[in-house]
Amino acid sequence: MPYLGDEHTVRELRRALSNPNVQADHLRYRNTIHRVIRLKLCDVWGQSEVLAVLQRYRPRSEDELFDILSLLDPALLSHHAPVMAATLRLFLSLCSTLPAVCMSALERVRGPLLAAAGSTSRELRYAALCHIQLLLRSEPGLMGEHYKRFFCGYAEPPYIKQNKMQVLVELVNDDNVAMVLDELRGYCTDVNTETSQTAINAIGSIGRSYTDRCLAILTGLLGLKQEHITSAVLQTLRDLVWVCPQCGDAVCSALEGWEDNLQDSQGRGALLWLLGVYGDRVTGAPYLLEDCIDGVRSEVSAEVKTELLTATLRLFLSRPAETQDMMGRLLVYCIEEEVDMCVRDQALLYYRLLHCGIEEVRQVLQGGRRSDPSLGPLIGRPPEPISQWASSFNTLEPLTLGASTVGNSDPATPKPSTLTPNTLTSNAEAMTPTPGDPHLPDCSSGALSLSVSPALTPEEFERLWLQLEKGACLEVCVYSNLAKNRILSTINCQCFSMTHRGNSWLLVLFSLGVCDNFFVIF
Amino acid sequence: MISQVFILSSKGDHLIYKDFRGEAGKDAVNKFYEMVTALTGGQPPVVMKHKELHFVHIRQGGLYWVATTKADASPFTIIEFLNRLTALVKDYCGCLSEKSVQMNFALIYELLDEVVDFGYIQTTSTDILKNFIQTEAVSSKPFSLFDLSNVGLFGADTQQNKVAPSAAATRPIVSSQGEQGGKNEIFVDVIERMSVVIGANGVLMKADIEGEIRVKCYMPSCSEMRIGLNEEFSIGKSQLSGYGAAVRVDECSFHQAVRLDEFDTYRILKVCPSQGEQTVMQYQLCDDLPTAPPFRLFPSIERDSGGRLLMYLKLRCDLPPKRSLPLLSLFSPSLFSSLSQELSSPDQSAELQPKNKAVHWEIPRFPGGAQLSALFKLEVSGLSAASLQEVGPVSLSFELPKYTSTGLQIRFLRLSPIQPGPSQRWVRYVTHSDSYTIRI
Repeated sequence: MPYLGDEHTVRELRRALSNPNVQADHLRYRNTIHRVIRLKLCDVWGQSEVLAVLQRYRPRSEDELFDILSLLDPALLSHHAPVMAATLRLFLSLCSTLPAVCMSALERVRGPLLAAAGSTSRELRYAALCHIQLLLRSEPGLMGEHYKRFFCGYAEPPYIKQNKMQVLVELVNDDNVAMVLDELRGYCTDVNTETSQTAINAIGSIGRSYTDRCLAILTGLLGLKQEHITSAVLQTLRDLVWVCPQCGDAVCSALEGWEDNLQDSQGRGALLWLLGVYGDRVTGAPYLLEDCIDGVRSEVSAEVKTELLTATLRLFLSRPAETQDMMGRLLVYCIEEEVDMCVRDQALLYYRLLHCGIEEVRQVLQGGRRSDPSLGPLIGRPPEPISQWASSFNTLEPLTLGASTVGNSDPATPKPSTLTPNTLTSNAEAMTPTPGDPHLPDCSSGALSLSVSPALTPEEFERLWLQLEKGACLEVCVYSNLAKNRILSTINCQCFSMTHRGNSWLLVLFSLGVCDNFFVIF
Repeated sequence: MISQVFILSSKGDHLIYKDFRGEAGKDAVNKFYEMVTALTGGQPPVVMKHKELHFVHIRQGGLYWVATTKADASPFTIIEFLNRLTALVKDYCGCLSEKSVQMNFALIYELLDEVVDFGYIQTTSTDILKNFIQTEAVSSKPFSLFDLSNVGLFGADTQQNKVAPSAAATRPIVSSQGEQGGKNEIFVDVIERMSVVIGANGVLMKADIEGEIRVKCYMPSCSEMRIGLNEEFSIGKSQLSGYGAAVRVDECSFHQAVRLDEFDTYRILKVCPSQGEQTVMQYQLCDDLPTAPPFRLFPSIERDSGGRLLMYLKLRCDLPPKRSLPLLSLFSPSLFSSLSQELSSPDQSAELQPKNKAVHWEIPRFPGGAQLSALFKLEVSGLSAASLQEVGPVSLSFELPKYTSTGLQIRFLRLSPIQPGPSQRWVRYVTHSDSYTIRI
């Protein structure tokens, strides 16, 4: 047992704190408080144990609560990180109904946390940084004037640098944006490729609010002609354009004299997407696409080929004369010789679409907005209530969570809930795509066959659909295509097609269920 | 609650294994090593999870110190515990390395027995532990006061009796039958870590100092020690700094055992040091250094007609002329293929390190107030206009002995009661560079 004193004290304490009957007894309560007063006599480990045990105590009245809080107050400022963290956790759980007290506790713990974030031990620094990120979710302005403490040191390991950059992105405001961008610009040329990629993504995230400056930096980085930097910049530009369509001009001028040959498939995909969307404004677009099309046989990645198809079709809409020939060659290759089914299906779709007429093509590819300005900038994200993360403070969860998201360049935070397709099983048999959908899937799983004449009329389907209860509600903030794909892959669905009317999106998703049922979800 | 503790060498050899709760099997060790070697460079390795078991580890002395836990324990507690464990082993064995751990495994098992009980941490203070630990430490190299081979920090270039080599502070604590006969010594170190970023236009962008006062006590019993700091020591930003030798820090925090009753008036700390190493005080100062940053760089980069990049660096040291640095090294990341250089004095050396993609310039001695220059001619494959931007920031790493950037000084050190026999008190100051970056 920890050295809390003699065995008798320890036994009393334990009994007092786990027995609800004891809590009703005023005398025993005073004993508990006295144990807490003697906290100073324990060493660091004893104190953390006592604080962990106190988590289970529920004070009876507000007076008790404030008594305990004022006795524990000095421990909040302790420069021993375990004690400080355990005290804060206790405060947050005791005061979950008093947000003002929680906020003031967070303010007071800022100093010790920052000290831990600068300690000599790298691992302690990392733990402190992960917890600071938790705090910033609720009070984004907490570390405002201390942003300089999060500048990366030269010899720090990459995982700490990446965490610090994520924190820096959240601390940006009008006063310090110039300094922060300068600093991030310096990290973009770091020898470690992952660090430089994180830095470039960080600049992209800041670019949602401070577009001009960030665009200037990003286009300047393109001039370095470094493979990994260029690839990362292109992906960031693609994500940025999705949120801020007004950057189109700068992006076009950057793409104007493009000569590079990228090897990285992600970068090439991004480049092709940008060329497709802004092809009408970039003079050299058809020739760049032609180079890619000529080399499509040696292209390995299916994603790049799909992007190539989409980009060429988009360019065909705006510049038909130049792209007609290459469009044809590409479609012929994809339909005749391509091995990958997804690419072939996409090519078939486009071929049939072209048969329907140019207006149909235009509607499908360019219907509605190109990008959605309603997706807010990063800084406008509302602060979360403390209760969302209070239970995971001072546990190993923030550190393991950091492990999975540090490599993730996308700052979007999707919150999917599990979708239960069970309520849709009744529809499994009578399943067809709706008549208006031009997409005819090429279903290669033999058990299913599609009938041309629908078994259900659309009205019956609609009636049945509305009768079903909602299986689950999925709330997502989709910042980019990548995020959407990632969300969908977490709920095990894939997207057939999507359109949108007005403010709502209609996605046709399909998923393979446990018993090999094939669901179509709208 | 800690389930197991084990120590692995960097190659995966099992050095120490101790299971406290019997919750997990011994295969956890191999699993951990697999996971940690499978990590790529960027992934944070501190906490890893495998099925129900969490692995928390730190790297020190080239060894992996790992603790596993099943419950969702506090990361700060476990990391702090592992740090304390390494400090304890260092105190007992003298230095922390694979060899010393291998030679002292019995001692370490005994330590682990006393320090943790069924997964609950009992105590890590040397005072209490020394009553229980019976095993003697085996030192990996015999200590001798005349050993000058590892002159590093506080070089022995003055008289023998005034200065002890740095190895004096690394001998084991508890050695009553040692050759040296148990000298009574106490070392008080004021260690500052400086973190500075200077922008491309020469403007100081960030300057931080994190400092601590560490006491390392070799005396078997010491009841009270009084440490006196500068009289004009002030804490907090609200105070206006006066002229002269006023020392100001933003924040400072003290060890639990320090008594501060005389701190407000006379700036005296009273502490009863236990055997071993402890941090008495920690302080931070941001952005408002009393002295200018010690080094300034004037770089100029241009291309010559032969298609090579010429980097001319002029480094100026702004310390008072009496000081002189033992070693300085400069890192300048750049993606170049070959190097030829002209340095201003023969004892310096520079080399291209392709592993870090950096040019490494070593300066063994740098007198204060002096200016050194170097001309590097770098070959680049595929030179372009943008290559000038590829030269990364210059990073300096140095150690300034007998110098504190904040100006903190220890006025006196008094031990009471007066110790029987000769006892020596050493006070050392050093400023490290945590991260001194100058952008080009």
